[in-house]
Amino acid sequence: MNNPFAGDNTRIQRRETAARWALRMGSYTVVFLTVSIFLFITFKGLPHATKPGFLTELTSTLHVIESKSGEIIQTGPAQADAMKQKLGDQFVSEKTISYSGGGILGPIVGTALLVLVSVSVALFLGVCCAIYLSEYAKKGKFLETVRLAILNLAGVPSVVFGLFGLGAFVLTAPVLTNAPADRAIFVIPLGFTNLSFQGWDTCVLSGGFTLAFVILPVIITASEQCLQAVPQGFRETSMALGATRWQTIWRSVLPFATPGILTSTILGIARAAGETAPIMFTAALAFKDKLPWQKDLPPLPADAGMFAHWEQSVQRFLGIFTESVQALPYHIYTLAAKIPQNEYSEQAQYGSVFVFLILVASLAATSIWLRIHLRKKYKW
Amino acid sequence: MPAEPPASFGPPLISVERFNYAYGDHQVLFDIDLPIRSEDVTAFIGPSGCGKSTLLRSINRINDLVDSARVVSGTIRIDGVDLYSPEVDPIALRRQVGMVFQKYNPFPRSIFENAVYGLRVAGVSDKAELLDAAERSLKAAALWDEVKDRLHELATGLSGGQQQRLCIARAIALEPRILLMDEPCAALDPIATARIEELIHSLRDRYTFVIVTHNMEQAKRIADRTTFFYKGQIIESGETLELFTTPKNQLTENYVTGRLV
Repeated sequence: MNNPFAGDNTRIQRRETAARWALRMGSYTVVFLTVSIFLFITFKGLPHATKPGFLTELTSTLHVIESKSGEIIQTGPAQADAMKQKLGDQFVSEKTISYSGGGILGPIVGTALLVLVSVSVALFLGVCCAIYLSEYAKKGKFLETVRLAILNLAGVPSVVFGLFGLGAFVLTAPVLTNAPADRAIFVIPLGFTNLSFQGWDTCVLSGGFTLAFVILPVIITASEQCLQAVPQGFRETSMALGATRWQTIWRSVLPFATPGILTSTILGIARAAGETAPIMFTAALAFKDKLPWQKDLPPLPADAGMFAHWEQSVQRFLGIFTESVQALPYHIYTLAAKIPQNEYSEQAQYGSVFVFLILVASLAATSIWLRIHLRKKYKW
Repeated sequence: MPAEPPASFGPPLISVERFNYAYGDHQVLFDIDLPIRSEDVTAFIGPSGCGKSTLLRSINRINDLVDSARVVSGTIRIDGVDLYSPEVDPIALRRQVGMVFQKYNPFPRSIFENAVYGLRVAGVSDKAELLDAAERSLKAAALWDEVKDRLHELATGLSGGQQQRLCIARAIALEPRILLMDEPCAALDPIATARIEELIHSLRDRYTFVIVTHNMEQAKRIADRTTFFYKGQIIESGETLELFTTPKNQLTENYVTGRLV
């Protein structure tokens, strides 16, 4: 039978097929690469990450002791000597590998603290800024300039943020102190104490503030979009019922923008947790044998009152933020680039990378879950 | 020409005087003169973009929210007070001049919270007072019987007509003197529309209604006086029946007979 609808294999059709396949191959390549990276890291990192103590111990130097019978014993610095004595004349050799023993509790805690500080700061500043831009500022040249500046901020390389943090927070930021340091840029006497611009030193606070500036553009842009997505009708209705602008924002705009703001914040957390350069000069240490709250404070006299105990607890708590810490991305960098490579350092590396990957993946998953869940709850 | 009210009535409640209004450089209202009496239901009719909504939204100054909007000259007075003078606080004005919008838009909160929103932002926090006000306004809006058992459910779960009546309840909870309605039935089906119109009838003694509508039948049914706008000007204003049956102006006649769009 004569079929008038049979395709003729013209150039147009061949081009269509070629385009479809090119696009398909591009997508498959991306999926393939992502999956293979993930599988590779899981394969290499999972065995080490699930070793007992990897998530609950502090980082230490790894001692690898070989015995005459060919047995290889991996142990920490505390047990190394005892192990050698036990082996006696069976002992053949001992290698030490920095940072590769113990666990990664220090870096996990450090990253958590840095993220906590940075997200608090960025969320506060970012949401304030977004509310002003979206609800108060008049549309015009100024607003466009500010938006452009924010976009540019997002394009600044992270190492520049690191250096900015070094200059601004580590070396210059103001502190209240009775005894200003010599390096203070200037000191404003306040009578009862001094406001000294001597910086906060390398610590969680400096690193957290620096990271806050890294994620600020993301938070501002996303928050502004979420605010804009709240129907204009809510604002008009609220104002028509005699609400002030702030009441309108607080009661009828912000609550409905919050789910979106939270979602983007979680992605901001993932970004802040992963940045290395901004914390290199401002907060991170390659090695630390204490957690931030394990600080030696002078013991209180036996008859110390409640107030002294309370004061010391506050001091201990605040001390957490003025300590420098280990952080996951910087720990990975240290293991990969700062020490000679061998099979043992590699294990620790892949273990850390795997833990980090899981952390980021679960944050992303939380954000997706939150978005679905809150969308259902706040529909209009 | 805007018709003057018969001398037997007192001074108008709202009086629009030589009102010129613009968005940026684009003028949308030209020399509007219009007295609105408290005992009337007044309808604004006219094709889209004729400025009727802008005038309505200028009466409670909600149009202040539009960045480029400005009064070019003239003013609007309520009880003789110039609404655009610096001594007038738009917030205080809006408590007395309520507004219902075209798209029914209760907040995605409970029915109760919607009903008392205006009181809450005015600083009322006494539970009994709020409950009392909610009941009063929901009853006035003929919604109480339908929602009294589910005051704490989401308002967005109500039907369109119920949502719009909730919006009316929310506006009258503040006991305003004037209720502005911007095409209140445009998004509703005929049955819900009829209920809103009944509601306006039942409340007309308590509030002064000014209603923008595209539905000429509706204007005939509910309004005592009707004003026809065209291209930012008032073409004709008068008794509703008169305006529809014996229009004085050719443009009005064309519009009410459907020959002018």
